[in-house]
Amino acid sequence: MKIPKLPKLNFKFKKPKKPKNNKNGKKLDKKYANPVFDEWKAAAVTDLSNRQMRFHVVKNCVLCFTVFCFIAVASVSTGYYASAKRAEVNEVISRGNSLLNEYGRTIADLETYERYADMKQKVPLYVQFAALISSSKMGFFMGSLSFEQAAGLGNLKESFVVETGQSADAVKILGMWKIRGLLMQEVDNRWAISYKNSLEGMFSLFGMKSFVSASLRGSDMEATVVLYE
Amino acid sequence: MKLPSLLDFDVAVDLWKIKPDLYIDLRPFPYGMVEQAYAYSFGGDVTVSSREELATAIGEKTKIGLVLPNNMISSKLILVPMEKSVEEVIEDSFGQDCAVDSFFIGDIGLERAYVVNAIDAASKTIIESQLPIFEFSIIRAIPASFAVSQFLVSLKDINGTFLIVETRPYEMYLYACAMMEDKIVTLSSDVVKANIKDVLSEKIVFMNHKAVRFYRADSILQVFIVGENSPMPLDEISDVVLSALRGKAKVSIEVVEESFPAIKGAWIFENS
Repeated sequence: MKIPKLPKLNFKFKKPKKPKNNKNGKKLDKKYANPVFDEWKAAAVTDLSNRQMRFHVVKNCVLCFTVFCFIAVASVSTGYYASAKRAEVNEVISRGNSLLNEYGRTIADLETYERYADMKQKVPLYVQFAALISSSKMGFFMGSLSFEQAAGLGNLKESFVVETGQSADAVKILGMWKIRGLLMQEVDNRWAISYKNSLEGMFSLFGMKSFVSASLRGSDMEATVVLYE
Repeated sequence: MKLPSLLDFDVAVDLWKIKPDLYIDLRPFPYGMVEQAYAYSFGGDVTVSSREELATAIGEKTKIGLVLPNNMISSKLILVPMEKSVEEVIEDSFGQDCAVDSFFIGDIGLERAYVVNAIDAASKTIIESQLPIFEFSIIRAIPASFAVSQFLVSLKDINGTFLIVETRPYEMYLYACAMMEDKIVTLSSDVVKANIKDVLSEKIVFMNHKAVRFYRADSILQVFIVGENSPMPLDEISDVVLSALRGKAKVSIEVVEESFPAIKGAWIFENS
């Protein structure tokens, strides 16, 4: 048996149309129905549209100018900020560099100390150092100090021979100290002789001989102390 | 090529952004023996003067608002069904040579109520011939019924459907109006120029009938007799109105003595 088809029901409703808006979607501020022929309102419409166009142009110009000003201000302030930050970063880098240099110097010093510690000496270095310091009766400010274990006499060879009566090749060089410093007052060769005598006395206690070459310029002092046996 | 949106601007002109400089009541007053005069106002005092004098008062750039008699500007309340737009209704009802504009009043049940005002080509010719200058800028055209109603609303407490009897020298205008959604709507209008005593009663009866049957409004319960220099004594007009609306228990009648209710009402509306 065939079932008869049910009739189709259509419940379509159109949405009610709302009052007309203008192009921008803004509701017109209409007060009443105002039928006016185009010829009647032409002059007023032209006048109003010119005014609206002028307003629009001025508005956009002001907007563009504002945007331009904003960009300019943003650009200047960003530049200023970037420059300030760059200076800050440079300062930090410079501080870091100086710190690294200091660490580098400390490491170099440590390496020197380590090298000194590794040296096998008849008399320990600190004892030698104490002898060097205490041999000057008036004392001195030390500018630089270095010690070399296996060093040649270089241009001191002749004065060594003259003073000790021994050839540089005939003796065993135990070490060579180079001291640069500042004395309390201007001195003459007597200080050098006194210093030399004191050192010889000190080192002879440890079975070592010493040769001192000192040069004086005002209160500046530069001395090379050669230890040998 | 598509222009950037910054350059795209809407130059749709909204006439309501412009205010008229001058309102003219184009219903003529008698002047001398044969000449006609017009009442006009720049927003202050109302002046009545001949065409020539009026012409001197209007400049080239004067923006004019017109108060037109209801037989020159048709003002209708239209109920638009939900499946149609008011534009479609206007297109079906009015010709291309008419100036038409609509105003949304509110939703009435499933329909939408609009006031549609229109001026046809014949009326346009008459209006232009009545203006004393050749080059003019008209930005408002409102019916006299609406202007007089605005004047009354500013003075009286008005509700529902009401009748206005505007008395002028040698003629009487009748307007059946209603307050809908706080807006004034002209339901029907008529004018009585001759044989006033006999015709007035019939016209009022017919207008009341029209208001109730055609526009689904209430019957007239308020009557305003406005004007001066009436061709018929005001007491007699009241009697005629009462007898025409007999059967209504509480019909109130108020008399407002004002010579230029339309011009004053137009400015009240403009400044509101």
